[in-house]
Amino acid sequence: MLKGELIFALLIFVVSLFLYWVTGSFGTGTVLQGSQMGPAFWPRLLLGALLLLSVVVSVGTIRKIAREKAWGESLLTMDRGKVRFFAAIGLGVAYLILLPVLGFIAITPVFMIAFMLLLGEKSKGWIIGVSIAMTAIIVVLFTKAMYVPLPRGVWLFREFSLLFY
Amino acid sequence: MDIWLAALQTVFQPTTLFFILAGVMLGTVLGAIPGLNSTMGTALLIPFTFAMAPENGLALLAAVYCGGTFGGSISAILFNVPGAPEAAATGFDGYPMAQKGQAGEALGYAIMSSVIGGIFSVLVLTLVSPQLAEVGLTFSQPEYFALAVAALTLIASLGGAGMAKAFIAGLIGLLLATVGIDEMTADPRFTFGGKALLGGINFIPAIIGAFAVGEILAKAEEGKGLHGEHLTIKVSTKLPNVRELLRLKWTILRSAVIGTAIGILPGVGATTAAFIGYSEAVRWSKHPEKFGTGVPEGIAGPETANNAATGGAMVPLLTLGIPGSATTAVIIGGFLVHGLQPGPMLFLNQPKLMYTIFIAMYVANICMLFAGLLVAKIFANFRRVRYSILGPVIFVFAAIGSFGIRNDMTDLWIMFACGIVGYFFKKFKYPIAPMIIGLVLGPLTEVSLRKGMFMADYQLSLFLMRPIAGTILAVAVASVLWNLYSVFIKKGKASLEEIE
Repeated sequence: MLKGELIFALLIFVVSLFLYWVTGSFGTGTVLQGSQMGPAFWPRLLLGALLLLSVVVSVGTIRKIAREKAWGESLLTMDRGKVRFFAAIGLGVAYLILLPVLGFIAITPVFMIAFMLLLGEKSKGWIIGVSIAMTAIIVVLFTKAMYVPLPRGVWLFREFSLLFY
Repeated sequence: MDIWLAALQTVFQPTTLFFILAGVMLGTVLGAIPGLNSTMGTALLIPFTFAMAPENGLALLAAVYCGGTFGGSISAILFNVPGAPEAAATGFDGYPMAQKGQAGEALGYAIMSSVIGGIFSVLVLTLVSPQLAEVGLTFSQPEYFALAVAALTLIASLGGAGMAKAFIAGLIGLLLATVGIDEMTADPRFTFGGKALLGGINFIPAIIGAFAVGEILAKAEEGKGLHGEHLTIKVSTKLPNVRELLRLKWTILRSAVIGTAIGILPGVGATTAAFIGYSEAVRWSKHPEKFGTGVPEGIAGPETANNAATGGAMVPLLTLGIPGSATTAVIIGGFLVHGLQPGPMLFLNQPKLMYTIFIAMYVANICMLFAGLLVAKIFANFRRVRYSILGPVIFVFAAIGSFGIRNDMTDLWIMFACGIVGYFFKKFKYPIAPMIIGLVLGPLTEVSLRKGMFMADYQLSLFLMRPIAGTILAVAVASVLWNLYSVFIKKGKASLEEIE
């Protein structure tokens, strides 16, 4: 855990450093003069502070690790929790990628069922009932009451979605 | 006076009343369920308020906020699992009281003190806001910069342990706000040549992601409590009678004042108020040793204070556009989806809307009495909610809510990315609230600084010598220094870990 914390703080440091480099290209053609605050001024101020504070946190964490002699702790133990976590991320990404392709009404029940199974839900009735009912409620609520055009998908899926909204 | 009547008419329309009642109920339920809270609830609701009239939408959000702040105490008292951080202090005496078989009485005290604290703070809100808004009209760029800095430093320095981490969170929020086209020079920033980020990071998907999706991911990993367990306690809530309440009058009054004052401070909210309310109740008590064993003062102290903070936190929001807490930062989104910018100008241009919000909050606090009784009853006799069902449902709502703001898939990816950031924040103990407040206040902070410095011809002294701006900035800096001082000196040794 402590090592993960250290890596996270170092990651903030590295990303800040990279973004600081990116600010070099901001407003090269701006009318503002050198001492005036151009588009890069504020982000650089923030990134500078982030660099400083991430060093403070890193040093603090390193000292804590040294004190608790936690250097030996393994960084990533693939227990069931971690598997569930990465699977949840994978499911989320898959849902977001497939949403514009398959449309909301086709993909959402499948996604919900998969997610509930992943979280260890056993009751088949709840799984199927809630997935279908929630999809129906959202379709009615968003398309009929709030006029949000939910993604319809492409090709055959679009035809399918058009049956409902 | 006419304004009051017009606002009363609006609030007492059946639809508005319905939204207020529904909001309080929903807020109470969300607050009572551990892992859900009013901040997440308001964030998930904002896309819905888009379709409502502004006064209905904002009344609903304010009602959820009021109910959510109280709701956490139900599970804190019954199961010793605070449904929300602001209820943690309520459990100190609430749970022991429930264990003595007085769960009904404990809930009754919690409900009554919440209602009184809430109404007191709305009273202060009503009295102070119009005056403060007038002062706010005289504010210029430097004052707004100072206020934004004060909000950010306060939340970081009073946010409990881990000051450096809180500041990192706030800075990340401010940095996210710089993505997109620079308001002053129209240069694209951090868009990496693409079009997707030109419009900036919409903060509603970011909030929904950080609070809702981050929580789902954390729960998925944790695995505990996914299935719920059978918890059946027979409870009938018993409201305290007048004599019992009068015995607590000083505790309640003290906490109401403390809670409102803390709520008004930009950036700090109900959780801090509850803990200070509790510790002051202990300090002033004749029998401080009895606290923790289940005394009514131990419930009234924090519970009055945290609900008083709701009205207090609305003061800077409505008068200056500066959020007083994480949830009020989210409520800004409720204004923005209707094209309204909270602040002194709104008081001038839309006074009816402002007074409608005031009255809606009075009504919401009264509704809390009934909502509290009802939800406590349902909750005590109900199986614990299974997160394995709830999590996926929340995820889909979060996704579609984020999509609905602009009908743009980019917002969905922003939501998901912020969810992952939110997960790591939770895991490595970085507070999320400063990030959200940074994201909300980012444009104001940057633009007021750069415009203000432009006006002052880039002379920092002119910028700082303005009396109000200078004072606020001095207080903000002093609060940070004071916290650093107390960490380094009071605890006897200088250790980096403690500020970190």
